[in-house]
Amino acid sequence: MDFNLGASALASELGTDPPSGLVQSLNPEQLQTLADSLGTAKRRQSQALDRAITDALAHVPFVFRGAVALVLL
Amino acid sequence: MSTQLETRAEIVKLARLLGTPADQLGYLERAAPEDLRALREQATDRLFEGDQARLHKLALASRILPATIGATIARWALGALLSARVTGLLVPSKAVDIAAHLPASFLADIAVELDPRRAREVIERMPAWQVGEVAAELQRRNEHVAMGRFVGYLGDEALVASMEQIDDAGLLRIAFVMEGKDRLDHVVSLLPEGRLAGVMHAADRGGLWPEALDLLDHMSGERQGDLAEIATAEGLLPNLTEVAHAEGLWDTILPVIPHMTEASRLSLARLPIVENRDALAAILDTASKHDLWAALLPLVDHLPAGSRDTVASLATDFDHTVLARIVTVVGENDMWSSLLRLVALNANLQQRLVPVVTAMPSAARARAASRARELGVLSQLGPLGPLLS
Repeated sequence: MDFNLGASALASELGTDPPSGLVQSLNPEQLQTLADSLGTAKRRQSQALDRAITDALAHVPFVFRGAVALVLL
Repeated sequence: MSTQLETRAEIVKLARLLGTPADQLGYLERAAPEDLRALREQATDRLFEGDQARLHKLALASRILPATIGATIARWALGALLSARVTGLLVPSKAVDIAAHLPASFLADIAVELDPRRAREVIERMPAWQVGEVAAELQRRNEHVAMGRFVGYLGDEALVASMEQIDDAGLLRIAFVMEGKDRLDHVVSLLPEGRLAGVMHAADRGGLWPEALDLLDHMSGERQGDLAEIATAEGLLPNLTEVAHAEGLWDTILPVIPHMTEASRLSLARLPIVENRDALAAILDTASKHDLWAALLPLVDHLPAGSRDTVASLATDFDHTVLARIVTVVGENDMWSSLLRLVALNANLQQRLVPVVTAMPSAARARAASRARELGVLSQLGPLGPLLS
């Protein structure tokens, strides 16, 4: 695997250059694995947020629900 | 802290952030801890920023709702991870109100996920009793790494309440991994009298001397002296120094010597390990590498005769630069009596010092000669005697 590919994948997931010392201490596959782990964490968080927003409304008393829905959705 | 252990602590924190078992990140063990910490902060920011708009909406919604309902939503809809992400976006007073309606177990879940940098004001406003309850819960779960991230953000009252809930070994483990160790001396100053002795016994019982030595390394000179007194009084010096030697941590012990009482120095100098040639060689090597001669020389005075002979013999292997540095430090600190008594023991060392003494300024030579006369060792210094006088 191209060394730059692993580092680029991690930079892309981070939205910034990873620490240079870290890039030098890992091989391309390890950098890619790290990038994948971060990507998975981001997706997992985003999906959890989708569910949470829907679930949250169910816990809001009727009197507040319209206003809260207006803010959340 | 050793780099290896620091790296491991960072891997645990990163694993938690990524929702990955720490053992799956074993490939990061070769990375520097500061790089892993920088990566973790970048990843934390990215995870936060990625959903920032929706997290902000949740925070905004909380303003409309009573705290009790906010707490219900946090617990049953958001869960700990998202609650942690939202915490820093809430109005701090509202966050504290919501927390008041949440059980310590759930707050502990949030604490594990929370980025303290983003929730500083909320953490500061939390009542001490509640922080203590969360600390007790985290202690039950052995979440020392998670607790170590918060120490730098807690006020004194909350720290005291927390430390009351954490056992002695737990305190050592947290101190070892905590962020912002420049605050550690102050944190230790909040411990009640007698607690430090318990902490040191916990180190002894639990094989936590490296952690205790790391703690010692971050204390003020005065508190280092206090800890040394406790270790001496509690009979812990032998085990402490054995571990320091085995782990190559003499650089933690030597700076403490100037802060010890004469009685404690004598106890240290008379330990079996200080009669061991390998240990003495390691001590001298450490003093040389870290320029700790001024700290070490007061100990040399107290060494038993056999150990002093060994030190003098080992010193014959020093190169000119090291010997010149020792002589400079001795001159600056007026430690001639310590050095001269040692030099009088070994003819080879006297010979090795000839070029160093020759290069000394005349005033320094006169001072050394005066000390040698006072000690009655001028005639025992071989070729150095005529050079000094």
